[in-house]
Amino acid sequence: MTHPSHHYFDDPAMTRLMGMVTALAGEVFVLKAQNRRLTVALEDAGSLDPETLSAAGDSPDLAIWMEQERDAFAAALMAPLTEPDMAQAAHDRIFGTGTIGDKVAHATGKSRATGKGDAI
Amino acid sequence: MTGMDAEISFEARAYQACISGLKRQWSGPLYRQVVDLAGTNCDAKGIEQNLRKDSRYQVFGWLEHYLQQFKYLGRWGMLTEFTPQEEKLAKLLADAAAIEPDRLDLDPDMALPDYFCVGDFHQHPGGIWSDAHDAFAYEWGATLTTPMSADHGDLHDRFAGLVNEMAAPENILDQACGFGKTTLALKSLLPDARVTGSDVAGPCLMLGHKRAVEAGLDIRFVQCPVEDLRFDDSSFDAVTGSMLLHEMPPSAIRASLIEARRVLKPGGLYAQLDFYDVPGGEVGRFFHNGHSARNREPYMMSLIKMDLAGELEAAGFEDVAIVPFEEGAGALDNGPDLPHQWRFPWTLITGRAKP
Repeated sequence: MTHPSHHYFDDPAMTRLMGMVTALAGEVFVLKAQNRRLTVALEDAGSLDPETLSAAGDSPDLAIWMEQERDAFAAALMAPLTEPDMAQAAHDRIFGTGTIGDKVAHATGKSRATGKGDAI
Repeated sequence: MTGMDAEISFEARAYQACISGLKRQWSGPLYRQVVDLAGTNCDAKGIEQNLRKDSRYQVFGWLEHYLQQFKYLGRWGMLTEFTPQEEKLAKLLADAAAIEPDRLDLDPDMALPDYFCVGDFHQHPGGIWSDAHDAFAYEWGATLTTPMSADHGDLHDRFAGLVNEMAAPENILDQACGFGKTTLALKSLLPDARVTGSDVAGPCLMLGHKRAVEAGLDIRFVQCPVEDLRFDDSSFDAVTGSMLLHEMPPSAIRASLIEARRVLKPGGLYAQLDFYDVPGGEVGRFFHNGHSARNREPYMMSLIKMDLAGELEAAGFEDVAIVPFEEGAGALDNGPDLPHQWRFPWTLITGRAKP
């Protein structure tokens, strides 16, 4: 089933940009939470001082993390630009893009695969 | 999060807090801006047409539709977090199913209703009925359904309390029980009552069974559709449900009423919580119409157009009452007028089985 398309702005690019901004908001908030958690941990351990902080910024571990996180961050940020309707894409991956009958048959067959006591 | 044993990373908790914060902005200040824009001079359709070009309403609509998708499918969305844990979650459910196994009655031959299995209700891709991770994600997501409520559990405890006040039932069927939020509330309040939960979603029933076992509550969970209940005539003195009717087309609702009447003892209580009596006149209807379209709830509109009182009477119920339901303290402070914050139009629908 293809659900009705959802366009809220006169310029369809706005839909994609709003998605990008929301994805970015999630990233920033998680970052703030991680930073805060780290600060609390270090303060509780009596380990937070300027020299230690500077040394951590230069560590090889951080450099490796940066390279990996850079790609994951960028992919998540850009995803709404290329696929703004995540739910439709996920639905199509699960049910395909056939007729309603095809999707019902697929769904019914999947539900019948779950037997009493069987692993799901 | 208490009672949940799927692993939820720190990052996912932070991310969902962000989504929840954005949703509260949507349901509070942004909603009130749109209320001011809506005016009172035309019907719901006219309001929609008038506001379509206003960027504030455009942003309101976008957030209503897409925040739900971020909640499930964003980088730390609920499904993103739980899908990789499917094997572990399925084992958790299977292990729990082996405890008190006579309390869990799944029907592997049951066919899901067509309208249910391809609907992606509330934008949960693939539906809540598919896999273990869907059940756990549904449970987690339910805590964010009512953005303005301080305690999501409060709603189900309140409903259970009303059911007890109205009927003091000794044998209850809680339909479309999902993972058992109302079911467990009923049994906790009425420990001497026999409580049964029914649903079509096997993984949700297994999760409800797990939660009941963990809580030490003796509840039976049975897989069957509301249109074809696997219980004898006059089996129960109360049939309850929450958020069931708006997920069904009118024909299925009618069939479910006939079945509910069949399994109820004469004089037994039928009590449903759902979204029916929309406050706020045409502006309220404008918001409700929009939610139905934007959150993939295709039967929300057909439900509010039904004469539920008439349907209940035709199905064999009397003393029908349809009243607003206060899901949290202060939710009904504005009475029949528009609420101060966006909320679902929670309605309590009750009737008694005619002798």
